[in-house]
Amino acid sequence: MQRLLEIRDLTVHFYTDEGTVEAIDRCNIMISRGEVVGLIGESGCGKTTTARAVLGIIPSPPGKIVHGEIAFQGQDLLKMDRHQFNKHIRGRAITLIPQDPFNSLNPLFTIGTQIMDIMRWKFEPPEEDGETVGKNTKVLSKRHKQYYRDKIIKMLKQMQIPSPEQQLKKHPHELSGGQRQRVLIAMALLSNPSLIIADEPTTALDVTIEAQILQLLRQLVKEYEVSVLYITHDLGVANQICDRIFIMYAGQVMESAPTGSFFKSPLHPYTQKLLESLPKPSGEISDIPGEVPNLISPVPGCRFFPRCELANPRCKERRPQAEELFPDHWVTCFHPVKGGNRSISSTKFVD
Amino acid sequence: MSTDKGIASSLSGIRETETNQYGQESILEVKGLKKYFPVYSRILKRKMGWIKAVDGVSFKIRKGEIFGIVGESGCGKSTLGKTILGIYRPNDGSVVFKGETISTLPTKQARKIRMGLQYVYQDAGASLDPMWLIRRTLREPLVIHARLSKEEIDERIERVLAATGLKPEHLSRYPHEFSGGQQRRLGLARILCLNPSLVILDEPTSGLDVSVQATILKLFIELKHQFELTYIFISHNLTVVHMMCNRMAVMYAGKIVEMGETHNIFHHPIHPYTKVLLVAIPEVGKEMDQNLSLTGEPPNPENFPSGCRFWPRCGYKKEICETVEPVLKSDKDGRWLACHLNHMK
Repeated sequence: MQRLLEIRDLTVHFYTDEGTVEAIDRCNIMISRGEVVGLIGESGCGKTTTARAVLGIIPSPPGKIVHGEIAFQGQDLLKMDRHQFNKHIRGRAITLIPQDPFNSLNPLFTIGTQIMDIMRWKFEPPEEDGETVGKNTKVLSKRHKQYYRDKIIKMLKQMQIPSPEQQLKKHPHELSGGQRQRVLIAMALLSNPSLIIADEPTTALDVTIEAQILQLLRQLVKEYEVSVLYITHDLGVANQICDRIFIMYAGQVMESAPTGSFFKSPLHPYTQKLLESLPKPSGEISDIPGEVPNLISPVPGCRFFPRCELANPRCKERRPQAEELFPDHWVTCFHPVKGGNRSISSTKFVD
Repeated sequence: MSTDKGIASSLSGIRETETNQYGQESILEVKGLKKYFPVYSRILKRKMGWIKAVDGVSFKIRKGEIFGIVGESGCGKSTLGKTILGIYRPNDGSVVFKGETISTLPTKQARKIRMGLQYVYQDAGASLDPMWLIRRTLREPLVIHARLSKEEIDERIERVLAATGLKPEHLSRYPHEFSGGQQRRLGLARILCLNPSLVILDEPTSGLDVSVQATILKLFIELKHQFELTYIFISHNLTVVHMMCNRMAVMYAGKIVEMGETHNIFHHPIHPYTKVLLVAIPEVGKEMDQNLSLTGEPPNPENFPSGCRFWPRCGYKKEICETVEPVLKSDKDGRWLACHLNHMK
């Protein structure tokens, strides 16, 4: 499959009064075309920071990308001209579905005004009757407006929003959480992006609404052939929507695999522990002893080592390289655990 | 790890073995509880109508069990919990706690009895005073409720701190210095000082990561045994309820639609709403259901549909559902249901 996005050795630091927070440490993530990639991990592990680095919105100061590259369609986004980046990438080729549908829309403007605003700035004007309709001008003619309006209504219909013409006149508080999230998804799709970053889009919603939104997202991904970087802390959601999963812990990518083998036969001790700590109907509870490390001057090696049962002094000193132990299944660990029901021939495994 | 496995295995099976041991002795009985909030018009502040947050809920809780209340947001779970506690006065119905009707008692007497009935708030961080040291926060309930000397108070605080896995040095810190998991522990420590017998846990694990959630759930079970507690577990997380609770009630739009043994409900849901709720949970090892029958959103509490409140979203609705409201009835297995489809059988 063709690579759409390649994050290589991304390292992000935040310079605070307490010291340098090494939020992301040599993170490698690949996304192919038309793929839904899940980025999972506990809160504070750097999922959102990674997404922000891709969108170029890391608050600076205090944040800084100290190392690495983000290649999008063969272009390094970090070296790109800011003006070009704003014009062609952010909000156009890469869009965002934000986490909180309740705070992401402006309460003072109608839904219609807000979507029209996006169209005005980010929508590629199409060729119509041999002449170009609309430029990125602030003032739109009536004809352009009508053209955009039709587009918006068509999109909202696709989001299964009932009577979209009326919804456009409403203010955000008049819509329910699920409806608002649908509007936000529509806004992300309007510019025909090739990558959507979805930052926990269903966390604030109820299970029944969440299920509806996930189903909708799945359909749209197929229809628009768009790639999605889906950020979530909910392993169940990741299982349902993602083709491939990257798991992060304290700023480091620990393991990546296709969803099926990720859940069936996790190789990294952290992944395994995390899956064990999911609530089970049997009433059995197991947790991970210890706490997430402080990211101000952390150890140079693997950051999971203080909580890992298999850790040895080497883990503290040196960061393991990501290795492909099974086809397409990468793990960053010196002593991966025997995975599920796969036959193991390698001697790298520790019993 | 060996010790962890030990604890885990000793905890597993608690539910199954103990289910039969509960006596019929009920610690709490809720009868036809109703809580309506008035809606006022914008300018003249005239009463326009009512929000029926809790509309005729009845159930019994036996001593020592964990009773789960599940439902989507806005279905009245938290209002129910707060009305039981007495934060809200019910419009109708009664709450009987240990044989006394606390919902009608004068405030002073009710307060005494309510010592045994405690509430752990959903947002653990916000329910601790940010300006107070933890020591002062933990002391407050004892100063109000119990006439104890300074030494006795300190001794009790020390005991609950140890039980909830906190250290004495935490006493001289402020709430913001604690992580989400520790804040939950503090919330628990504060109420355990008073030796309650029934604790209402309102969304006790929302906003926690899976690994922290597991630790906190483990703590709940340990404390239940140590302090002989009974829990009401209010949650929208069905997997956690499945793991923790003996019995559960499913609420929809202010009413209980199904109630019974957790195990039975999860394996054999009868009410159409319970069915879709269970299908909708995203779980590891479960495929996404492509033909999800659920459409629409929960109704507006100001204006519920006539008849059964679920019919606009129900895939099995009959004519009768649109006009006649189903009554919560029990069958011989102790399963309670409010659905015409089942009653017709």
